[in-house]
Amino acid sequence: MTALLPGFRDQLEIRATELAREDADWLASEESTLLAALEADGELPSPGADEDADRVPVYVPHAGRGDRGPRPKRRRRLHGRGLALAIVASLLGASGVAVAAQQILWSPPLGNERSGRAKASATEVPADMLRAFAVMRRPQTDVDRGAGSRFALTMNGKGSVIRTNGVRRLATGLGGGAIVLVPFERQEGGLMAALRKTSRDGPLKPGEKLPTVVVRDQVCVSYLDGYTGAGVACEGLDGLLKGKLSLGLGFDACVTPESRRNFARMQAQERQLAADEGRSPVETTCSRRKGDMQQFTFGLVPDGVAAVKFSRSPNGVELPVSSNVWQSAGGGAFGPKVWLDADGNELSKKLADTKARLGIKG
Amino acid sequence: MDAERLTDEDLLLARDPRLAGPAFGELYARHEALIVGFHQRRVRNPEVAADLAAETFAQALASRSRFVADGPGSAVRWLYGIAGNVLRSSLRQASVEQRKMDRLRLDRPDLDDAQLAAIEATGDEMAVLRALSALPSDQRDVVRAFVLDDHSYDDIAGRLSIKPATARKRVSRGLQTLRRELEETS
Repeated sequence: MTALLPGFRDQLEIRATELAREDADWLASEESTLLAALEADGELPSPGADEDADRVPVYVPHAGRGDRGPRPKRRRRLHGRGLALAIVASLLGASGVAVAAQQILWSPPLGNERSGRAKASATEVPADMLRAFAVMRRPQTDVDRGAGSRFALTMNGKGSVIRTNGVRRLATGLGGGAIVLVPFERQEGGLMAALRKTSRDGPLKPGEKLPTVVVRDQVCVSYLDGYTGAGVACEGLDGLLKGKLSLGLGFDACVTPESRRNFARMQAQERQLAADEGRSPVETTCSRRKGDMQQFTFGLVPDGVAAVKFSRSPNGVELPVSSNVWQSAGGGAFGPKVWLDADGNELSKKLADTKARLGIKG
Repeated sequence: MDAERLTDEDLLLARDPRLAGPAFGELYARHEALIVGFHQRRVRNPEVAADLAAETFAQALASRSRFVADGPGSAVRWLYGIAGNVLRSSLRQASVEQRKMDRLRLDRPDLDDAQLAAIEATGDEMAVLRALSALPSDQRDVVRAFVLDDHSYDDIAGRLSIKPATARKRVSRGLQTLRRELEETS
């Protein structure tokens, strides 16, 4: 088909490349500044700590067991705020984990010069969200407050109020960057939210500005690696319980050492799972040629979901859930079709059923 | 890069400097006709429609970091949202909005008579209606309401007694089919 606006595509491609390069340079400089500051503060998590966060246990426990998530394999020396938090948490006991985390407000740098500064809030994540997601109930660790999360938090701007004590580093994404969960007390919606409101309430009067739309109690997952891509997706409680919080991203497979390592890890996990289930493992292809774009998708599911499937076929691959997160080395999937419990039984995805299963009223 | 294989959402999310250009170019190519047609049907002037479409894509490029993928079709909805905003803003100012074109140092496309005629054809409601008539009935009604009549998803859902999410899905599916039909026609 002939282009309607001749040459405009070329102009856009050139500017898109330039802008992406500017963004990457800016991200890299922000990251190095942040990392240098963290290093100077002695707050960078040790490599061992990162391994703990990134390990990939296969199943999450069932809801209702008061589980506080995977425990680090090794004891690590705590210092500063981390030590204070640990003491408060131990004093308050297992059931008071969420409350304990609120006693000291974690105050990392929020926002950036471009989009303004966000604010930290000491308010608690809504109780129903805590009830549904073990990863939010477990205590915040040094790894959660590590460089990956701090980097993600600098990406929020003016108008955001973040429950910083609820921030969790969920996993390392297949592209090598951190998958970070950020609960928001309040966000000012963007242009689309404002336009939706005007489409509902009628057109703007002359001189009238687009309204500010405020969204409360949302949880976002973000992925950033400063190299191949970044993305964020947000949902409120109902969306979370329906498993709608997911994100698809592209990355250069097996080009960076981290992405190679993560692919190897996912393949090893798949082989282990296949051996446990007496089936042939599904091998994921992984190109080392630069520019070969692969995709990966990840999403959040509530407690009790131990694995997900994108197909109802008996041969459909089961993807394990860890820290309430599934990851798929493929694209185009905006949510799994099937949820499975730890025994391999299918769980209903209906909102009412999920609420009943997790003991959430309303 | 096989940008052709990627979804619209993935194209918008591509940030690698080596991939972002071709990805945005592919997104543009996929939706150029629909966005140009969107403006042409409303302003009935191919030159103005071309400028509005160019500004729409310039704004999409400038604000792509704010795009949040929330399912298939979310990129198209986002583009249409920007197109509607550019149009409204231009109508309010009584001149073609081109702030982002200027900021990104993009040149207005030079158009000859044949190209102007091609743009005029994208606003041909008969062509759109013909393509619409080929859609399955459940998609036809929602796409007509969304594209031609500017109704919101909530409005459409209310009128057809369906959920807003269902309306969104049908619009997305219908727009994809419509785009293919219009591309083949032109």
